[in-house]
Order: sequence, then C-alpha cells, then structure tokens
Amino acid sequence: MAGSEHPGPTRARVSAGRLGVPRTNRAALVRPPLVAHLDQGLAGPEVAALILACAPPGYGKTTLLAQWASRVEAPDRLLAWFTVDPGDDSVFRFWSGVLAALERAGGSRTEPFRRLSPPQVAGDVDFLADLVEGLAATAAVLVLDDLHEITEPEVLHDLNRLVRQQPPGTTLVLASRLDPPLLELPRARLAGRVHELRAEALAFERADVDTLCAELSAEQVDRVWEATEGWPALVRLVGMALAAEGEDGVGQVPTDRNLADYLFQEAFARHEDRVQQALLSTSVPDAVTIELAAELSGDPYIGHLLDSVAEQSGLVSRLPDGNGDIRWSYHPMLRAYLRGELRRRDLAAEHKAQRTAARWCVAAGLDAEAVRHAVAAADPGLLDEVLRETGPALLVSGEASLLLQLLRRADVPTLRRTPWSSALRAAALLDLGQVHEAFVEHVRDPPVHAHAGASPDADLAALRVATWLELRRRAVPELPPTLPDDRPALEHRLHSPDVRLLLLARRGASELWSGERVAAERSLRGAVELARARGRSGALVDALSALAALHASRADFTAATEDAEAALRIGEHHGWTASSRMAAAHLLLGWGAYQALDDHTARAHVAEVLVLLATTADPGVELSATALNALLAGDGRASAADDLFEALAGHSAPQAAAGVFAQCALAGVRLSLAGHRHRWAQEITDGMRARLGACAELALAEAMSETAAGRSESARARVRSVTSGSVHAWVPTTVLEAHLLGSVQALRAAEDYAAVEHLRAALDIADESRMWRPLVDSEAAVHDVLVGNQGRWGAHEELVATVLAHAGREPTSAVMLTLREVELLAELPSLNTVEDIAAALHVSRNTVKTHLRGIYRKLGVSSRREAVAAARRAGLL
Amino acid sequence: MRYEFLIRGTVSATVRAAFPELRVTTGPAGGTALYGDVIDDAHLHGLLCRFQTLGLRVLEMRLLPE
Repeated sequence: MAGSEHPGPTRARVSAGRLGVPRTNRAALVRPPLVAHLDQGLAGPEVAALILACAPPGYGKTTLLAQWASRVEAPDRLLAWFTVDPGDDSVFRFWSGVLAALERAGGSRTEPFRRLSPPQVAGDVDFLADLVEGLAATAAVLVLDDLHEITEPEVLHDLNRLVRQQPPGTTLVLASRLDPPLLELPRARLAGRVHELRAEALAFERADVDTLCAELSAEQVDRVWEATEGWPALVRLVGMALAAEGEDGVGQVPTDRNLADYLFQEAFARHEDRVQQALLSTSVPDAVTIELAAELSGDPYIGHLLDSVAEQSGLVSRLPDGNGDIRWSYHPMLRAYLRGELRRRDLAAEHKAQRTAARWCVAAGLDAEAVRHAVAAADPGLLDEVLRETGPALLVSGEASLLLQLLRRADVPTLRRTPWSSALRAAALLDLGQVHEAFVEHVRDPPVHAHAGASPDADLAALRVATWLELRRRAVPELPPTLPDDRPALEHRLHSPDVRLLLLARRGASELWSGERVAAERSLRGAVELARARGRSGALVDALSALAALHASRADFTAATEDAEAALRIGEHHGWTASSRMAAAHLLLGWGAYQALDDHTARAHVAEVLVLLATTADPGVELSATALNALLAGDGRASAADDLFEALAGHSAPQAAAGVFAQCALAGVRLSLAGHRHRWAQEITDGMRARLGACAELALAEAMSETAAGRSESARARVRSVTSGSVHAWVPTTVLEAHLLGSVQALRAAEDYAAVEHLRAALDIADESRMWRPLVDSEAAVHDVLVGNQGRWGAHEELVATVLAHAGREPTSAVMLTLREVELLAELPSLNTVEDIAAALHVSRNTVKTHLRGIYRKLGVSSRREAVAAARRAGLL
Repeated sequence: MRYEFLIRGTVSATVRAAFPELRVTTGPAGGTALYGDVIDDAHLHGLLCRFQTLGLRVLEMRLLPE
C-alpha cells in the first residue's frame, strides 16, 4: 500500500531554508531602537497583535525582524517563521508552509499543529478554527516574510480570515514590499492592534550611518547620509563603493540622477574588472552554489570573493542549503542592477551565462530552472537539448501547467518552434485535458524524418506516439489513422526513463480502452513500478487510476478501491484535489463504494467527479460518472436519469471505451424500464446494437425489455445465452445480473429449482468480487427465495444475510410494471368502466381485469382508487 | 495596451537594459519617460514591481491612446 510512503497528514514539501529565523549577516547593523519598537508590538494576554513591516526592497525588513525574532523566543511563547516564495501562491502550499513553520518551531508544544492537514480550497472553516486554537494555546508569534509573493485571491481570503479570527495573546508579523491587500487590515488598525513599521521608520538614522561607515570622516558620512536619505541598501552600496577604493568616498550626487542607479554605478565602477565580471556573471541565477559560481565566472576563487562582498556590503547573503551546502544570493536590488548591467554590456555574455546555468541546472536536476535559463539564452538548439532532458520529467511529475508556462515564454520569433517544444506542448496540453488544443499542436508538429546517417531521436518519436495514443483514446475525430512511428523496437532505444514511463502509462490506458486487458495490465504495472522508483507522482496517479479502472472492468472492486485510494492519497499529498487528474480515482472509489452498498461514500465521490468534470475531457469518466449518479438517485424518472439518457444519446458516449459504454448503457436500460420509459430503453438498446454488436450486455438489455413486455420465452432464451457464456460479456457484472433476471423468470414460471440454481451462480460471482449491489437491488421475489432457503446457501450464508439486511433496510422503490399495465394505469383516474377501457385498448374485458390484478398486486393495494393514489405517490402517473 | 511611466531624474543604460520592452525618452517636464506595449494587468504590476526593485520612484503612469 502506498499509505506507508506518506505517514501523517498530507502536506506540500517546503524546503527547510524557508522555515525558521534566517541567519543575519555578520555585517548587519544591530538597531536597538527598532528592536525595542517591535517589542512594543508584541501581544499582551488580552491583545491579538499584528505587526506590519512594509517597505520597498532594501530597507532591511528581514534583517531587522530576524534580529528581533531570535530574542523574542521564550518557553511560554512559540516563534514560527515562514519565508513565502512565488510557489506558495496556492491555498494548499501556503498553509503547508505555515504548518511546517509552526511545527518546526519546537518541541512538544507543536502537537496541535502536527495533526492538521492543510486545506485544498479556501474557506475551510474547521481548519482555521483548529489553527486559531493551536495559535492561542502556544501564544504563537507567526512571522510571514515576503508576503508580497502572495497574490492569489483565494489565499489572501484565507489569510484575511485568520487576521479576523486571530486570538488574543498571539502576534502575527507580516513583512511585505506592498501593503497586503487584506480587507481586515483597516479594521484591525481602527481597533488599535496594528503596529506598523514603514520605510520612514526603517531608514537609517544619522547615527546608524556613523556606525556603519566608521572609517569615514564626519564630512563623508554627512554626504552619504544626504545622498541616501538613509535607505539602508543604498548605504550598503556606498559602503561597497568605498570599500573597493577606500579613498575619497562618494562625490557630489548629481541632482538629476536616481539614487540607487547612481550609487550602483559608483559602487560597481570602483571594483576591479575581474570582480565586476565575476559579479555580473553570477547574477544570472537567483542563487548560486560554489560550483555554479565557479563555472559561471571562470574564477576558482569566486567563493572567497562572494564571501568578502557578503561581509563588506551585506548585499549578498549566504543561505544554508538543506544538505549543508552553501548558496549565495544577491540582494534583489543589487541583482536587478547586475542583470541590467550584464545585458547592457554584453548580450552575448549574458546568453553564455544563461547557457552555462541551464546546463548546470540540467545536471543538478533543477528541471524548471534549467528550462527558464535555456529560454533566456535564446538558443533554439540549447532549448531543445534542455527540453529533451527535463521536459519529460516535468510532465510525468504532474507539472504540465508549469511546463506550459515555461514554454509560453519560448514562444517568440527568436526561438522558433523546435521539435521538442512542440511535442512537449502537445503532451502537456493533453495532460491538462485540453484535447483540442493538444491535437492542433500535435498535427502542426512536423513528423520526425530519419536523416540519412543521423539516427532519429527515439525519445521524441516515443513522446509523439504517447500523445497519439492518448488522442486516439480521447476519440479526436480527425486524427491521422496510423501511429506516427510504430517501430516495435522503439521502447528499447529510449534514452530517458521518463519518456519510457509516459509511453507505458499512455499505452496501458490505450490498451485498456481497446479492451486488451492482459496487455494493459502489463503496461500499467510497469508504469506504476517505474513511477514509484523515480518518484514521478503525476504518472503514478494516472497509472494507478488506470489500473483501478482495469480491476473494476474485471469486477474486482477490492483491488480497484485499493489502487484508487493509493492514487487519491498521492494526489492529496501534492495538492491536486481540485485537478481533473483525480476524477478517475474518485469515480472508481464511487463505484467501489456503490458495489459495497456504501451509498453515502459513493455519493460523496460522485459529487467530487461531477465538479472535476468541468475541467476534464475524458468521455469514459464523464459517462460512467453520469451513470453512477443516476443509479445512486435510484429513480428512473429523476433528473439524474435524464442526464444519463442524454449522455448515452449524446456525441461523447461512443468515444468511451466499449466496456464502459456497455455497462452504462445497461444501467440506462434498467433505469428506463424502472421509470416506465420503454421508448428510452428501446433507443439505448438500438445504440448498443450499433456500437457493440452481439454481446452479453445487448442480450441482457433485450431480455429485460422483453420481460417487461411479458415476452418471457424469448427473454429466457436470451438470458440462457448470457449465462452459458455463448456470447462475449464486456463486464462480469452482466453475467451476475443475467443470473438474477434468470432467477426472476424462473420464479414467474414456477420453476423454483431453476431459480435457486441461478441465485447460487449469482452468489458465487458476487462473493468473489464483492459485487453485492445487484443482489440487493433485485426484486422482492428474489429476496423471498434467499430468505426461504436460508441455511442452504453454504459458504454464501454470510453474504445472504448482508444482502437481506440491506434490502430490508432500504426497500427498492421501483415498481416493475409491464408496458400493458402502464397503459392501463393511465386510464384508471378517468371515470371509464372496465368495459370502456377494454374497448379503448382493443382488448377483452378479462385481459383488462388480469392486468388490473397485476397492478393491484404490484402496488400493494386492493381498489382502483387506492391504485391511483399509490401510482401517483410512486410517480407513475 | 500602451503605457507611459514617468520616473524621477535620469536613468543609466543599466536601467534601460532592465526594461528591454520599453522605450526611453526624456520626460516633457524633466525626469525620464518610459513607454511601450504592456501585455496585460499582470505585466503592468510586474513593471511597477521592477521599478520598485530598482529603487526608482514612479512620478506618473498613464494609459496611452492606441
């Protein structure tokens, strides 16, 4: 079971570097007045305090808060720090980070947070209530740094709620470049519980500049202070400029220059050329390790250089990595200038640095970063090379939308369409359920020709095959009828295991769709194994869901439920609950629960699928979900049944796999007959004949219609053809249902022995596959036989007891009237006598009386007046 | 959409290089004007953030007629 892979509540992974108080630079200035100012903002026992540190980059928000935070921690107060990054802009990821920060904060006190699972969608009242309770119990101080990275309204909405419900005794610290757009903030200000720290307060005092520039003369310090207006990052830049030369300091600032711009030029120009080049080339990635920095700058002593810049300027920070490695990161302001300067000086050098970074990221396994750099390098050849290495991995990790986003940036004239970007775009679109767009991309993609002498790219060919298989499964009408490259040896020549994984998963789904169950199982099991080994969750969820569907098609609902549950857990772990990827797993869990008589669970899963259906385009899932929904509604006249009839008649039904279609159509026929819509039943049966040809499902559908119409001889013959196995059954359920119908027919013909035989066969099938539903749903007469023969069912006694318990508790409401009886029922509310009715229907008086008795018996009434009332109650009139 | 931003003072070639999508001229009444096509709202806010990151003060910003 996959459960052991992810113990505890499901969370998104958050890198350790973003949790806990960041280490401050040794060059950082300690500013006691500001620290004291922050202390005043701390919550008292009666107050829910909110500290808002809001200023442009370079004002030292993080540094100050870090200095303060390390002093604030106390035994009776929990201190948690979470540095938000752009990837946290979803409800699930944001709360995962907050919980991880709280948990990390320390010891046994974090127990209340350990049990919490981050919600997938905004507005989870229970989660927020639990979180608020935990915060109150630990008197928490929660710091959210770089909050400006959050722009998603859903996340802000949740955060707003937290501010509204913030309990007394806790402190919430929000650090951001922009005023957080929280509606609750003005109200909190009015309540006097917001303690603000803005640019003006964060700017250096004259005394701070004195301390920082101790080696300068008083006159020079004056000039620095005037020039920078106390903006800390600018003072740092000045410091850098002075440190580089050590002499006359900054000159007179021209009044028409932007300060930061001017100071950067000053500071930068004073470094020797070697240092300038090193700084410029290492500004390309957001953070550099020692190896990458050395490669980018071509300077083996770059680490030393970066350290000394870090120490002198405070504009470079050393970040501890999770593995104990060191990474350097430039201050955003310095980085922005360095990148601008690099581009200005030498576009070719920038592209070269981007290329180096891209190659390095490929080797380091930083897939998305690699693509980003390759796009920035504006080199089509390199982009294709990088995409070949990283694209398939992103795809099978379930990062199709990220991949598309990256590729969109590459959609510019300088980076003409490359074979890999095209093929990956098609595959990613398909992964997100955008079938038509994927098809357009797929056919636009030029086919890969084997060049003379050059060996064709097997990976690319395999990717296109995978896309083609999936497009065919999704029944795209204009698809070219042959595989783009169907060489059988393709699989053995693949370079990337991720392409192999994708091909296996897509091929398995395709084989399942065309009914090749043995081949499908082999492909899907291979895909699951490979996806597990490589930690590729996207493909793992897909393959597990397909495997669950395979089990379900064999009526093995125990195995189906197990695999679907594993898929669901992995999906939850990655926050994919609202993704169309999860629709299939929910659907199969729904069917499993339905077969195991747990209607409540089944309804919950179907509701999930129906929501996700808005974004998925899988006709099989859609049809099957509609059928399950109709079956759960139970009433052949309800709107859920209408939806099923419409879906079966609609254009998407023929695109579903034959097995799925057969099963759903059979459910449609049964519901039609139960709702006395005989014409519907006929139309669906015609559809089955056209799509499936002769098969057990068609025979059973016809047998059901004939039984309803009273043509029992023909109906029995058809049932025999199914139970004897002389016609092909798409799904095993059909045989079980045929036995049950056979049992009903035998009872009508007073052949009790045959009825028991049929039931015994039905019980055999039901017991093996946990498919109890048809037994419970069968007619009262069948249940009577089950009761009457109790003690004689042998190994099935337990199952019989279960079925009877459920059947008794939830009596099936559907009353099976024949066609003739329905016609007659319509006449009953009139004042016509039996003779009049007989004349109107062109039948004899006795026939009418026979049918009347049938109606009375089935409705459990004894008079015409009661029959009309009962029929109205049951919705038959 | 086309936008124009007015920045205080003059800017160096480094800053110009950081806004490859905008063209730079001297503002009508001093300062520096940057103008050009803005793809969408997200791009607009991204540009404002870039000005902030570079420590540039935006004096004016307006939508230009097509």
